[in-house]
Amino acid sequence: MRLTKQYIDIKDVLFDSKTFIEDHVLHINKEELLEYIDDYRLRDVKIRIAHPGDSCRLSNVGDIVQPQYKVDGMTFPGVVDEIGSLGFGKTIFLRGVVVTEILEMPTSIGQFYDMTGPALEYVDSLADCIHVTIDAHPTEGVAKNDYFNAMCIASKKAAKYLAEAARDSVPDEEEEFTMKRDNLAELPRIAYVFQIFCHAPLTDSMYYGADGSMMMPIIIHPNEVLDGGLVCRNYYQANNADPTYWYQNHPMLQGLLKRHGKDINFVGCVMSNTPHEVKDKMRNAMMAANLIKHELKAEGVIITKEGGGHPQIDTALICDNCTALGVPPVLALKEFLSMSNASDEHVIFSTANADAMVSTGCRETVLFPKLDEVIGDTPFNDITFAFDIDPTNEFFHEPEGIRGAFSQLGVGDFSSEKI
Amino acid sequence: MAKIKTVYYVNQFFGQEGGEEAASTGIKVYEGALGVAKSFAEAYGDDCEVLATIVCGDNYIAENLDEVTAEIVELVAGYKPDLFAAGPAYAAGRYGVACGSLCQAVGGRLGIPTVTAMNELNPGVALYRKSTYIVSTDANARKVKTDTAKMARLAKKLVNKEHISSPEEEKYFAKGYKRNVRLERRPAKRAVDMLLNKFNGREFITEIPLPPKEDISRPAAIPDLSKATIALATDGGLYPAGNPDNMPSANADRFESYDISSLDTLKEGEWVIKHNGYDNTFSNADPNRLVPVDSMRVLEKEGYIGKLYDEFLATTGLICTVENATKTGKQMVKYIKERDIDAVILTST
Repeated sequence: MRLTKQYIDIKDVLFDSKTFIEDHVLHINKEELLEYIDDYRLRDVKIRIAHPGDSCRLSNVGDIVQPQYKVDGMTFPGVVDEIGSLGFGKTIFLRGVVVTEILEMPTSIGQFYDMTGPALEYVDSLADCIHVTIDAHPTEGVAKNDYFNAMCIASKKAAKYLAEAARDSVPDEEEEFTMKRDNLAELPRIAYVFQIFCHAPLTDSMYYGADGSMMMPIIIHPNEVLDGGLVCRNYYQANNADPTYWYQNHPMLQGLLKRHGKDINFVGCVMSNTPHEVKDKMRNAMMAANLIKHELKAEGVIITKEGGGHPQIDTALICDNCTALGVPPVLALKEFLSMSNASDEHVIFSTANADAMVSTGCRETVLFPKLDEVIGDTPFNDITFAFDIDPTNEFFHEPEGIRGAFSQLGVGDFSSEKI
Repeated sequence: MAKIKTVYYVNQFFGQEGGEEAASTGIKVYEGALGVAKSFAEAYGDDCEVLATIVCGDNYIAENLDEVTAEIVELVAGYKPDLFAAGPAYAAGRYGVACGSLCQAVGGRLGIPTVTAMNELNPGVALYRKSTYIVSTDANARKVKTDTAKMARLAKKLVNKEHISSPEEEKYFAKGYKRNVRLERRPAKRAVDMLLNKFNGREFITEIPLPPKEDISRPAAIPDLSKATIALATDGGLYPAGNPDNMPSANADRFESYDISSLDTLKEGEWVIKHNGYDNTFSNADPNRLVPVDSMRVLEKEGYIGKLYDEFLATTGLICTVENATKTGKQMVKYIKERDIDAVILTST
């Protein structure tokens, strides 16, 4: 399976009477875009542009997605387009611009995004992106979940619409994603368990448009995720889930693919969910480990997770099951208990099999400055104390509150040190 | 420039009262810097002014640690200091514990930086490293000037709110917390490298240590459920509407109990979930789905269980620190054991 990502670099975005790309400038016909994403569940839809460096805060942010358009195929199948296979062929990606949802209904754990200041230290490549924001209120009588679902679809539609404008553009760069199958005999067979967080309706990710909460572990091709197959629909615990942008640019998958054929034989990826019930957790962990051992024939496995506390139990169970089958695991985890717990109490499991763990960073408190402009009318709230944060002022918060930061997929260059 | 007002603590030996024979000496307060306090102040610089040196015998404080600590904290508070220092205590156990206890209490009460020093063999290290900065010293008082200088350098950084480097560099015992660092090798690279090391049997260092293992054994089954009293408890944050006890929406360090003796069911609107960690829509619509009073009443009527206990226990478990969860758990156990309850159904979310 060979996927070619065709990157079009965007240096500026502006509104115009026509949607097109010229000299790295994306011109958007706002009316046409609004018509394209029109949904009876959304009202007063506003499209705005925020540039890196602007004194501007995006309040109550939902998903962030990179514009992509599949040439001769389906874009975001099951969400925007009809069902169709991903992971091969050519896909256009606009680089330097993202589509960002601004929610006008409070979620339980709110997120924000600043176009300048300390927040940008935590979001890696997102920091250089221009944000095309979609800000919409729910139509009267529309339930919260229906509204969030509509926002999720609207942003993916906009992402397709914008990237389609690059149909005839010459790519600035092309990147190939493939898993060669020859000359691998000498290399250790390494697999990856990508544990996603599908907890409840609208607290999930969609794979080819399917709600992941009832999903059993499956083997996927890494290219399918990098090609827009996995879409974030987590509106209730967004702080613990990655925006679609980080699925499209999955750091762990990309890192493994880069080393495939060099010092490892990356034999594949098992995607596994985080169910509620103990029985389901046990079954998932067993099945994931069986796939790793018997189908992928792995000799070592890396496990990452999304979500907060109880998903660590799934991670530990997969770790135990893999170890029992003779496949040594390494876990990569965010130390989300780090705010007030001693450094030897950062995970909620204590299996001796988890003796190799990589930290993707811990929590800390940061002062976010007052910024001139706020996009979005709805305040977001603080997870711990549940008070509304006034986005028009300065406030102390954790990087966890920044959409796209605190990813558990290995975004950025974070680790931790003891003090 | 305003001087950094400091209060210093030493034991009878460093307070020039005498050795073991003077260990029962009570609290004495000297104006200004005495003995090691003087070398500390000299190392700190002209801007440090030791207002008082408090001396106390090791036995006197060790025999009544909490009371004497409280008494000395009162004295310290009276000076409204900017900094509190104690020791070095080297390997002297009672002295180390006194220094740690005082630093912890003063820091907690006044919110000012506190520094002490001792040897790794001192029991004060394990007890108080989380609550104060403890500079690492030899076991014996051979290099008092060097040790007080190390204390002063760290104290100055704390007072000036400067960046505190790693425990190795600053020569203090790690407090046991962590902070973010940025590394050139990104997580994906570090994970694969670690896995290759593990796979090849080479040495590797985990970046996250495992917590100490706690074995929890399964209790014996109840022989006859039809005679048993069962209580309901939840960490899902279900409280009476209006949350009369002001329970937090995360990280609770206590629980409350609520009377259900006259209820066959929990009605929508009368009970509200205060917990930000999950979608509460359905449990708010039917609180029995979090705290199953309705089903338990059916089992009670059928005689399958003896009795549903008259109160249920509620707390909020979200992003709970181990410390707080343990605290709440112990309170709950105490509550259960003091009453005629045979088993508890704990519903989580």
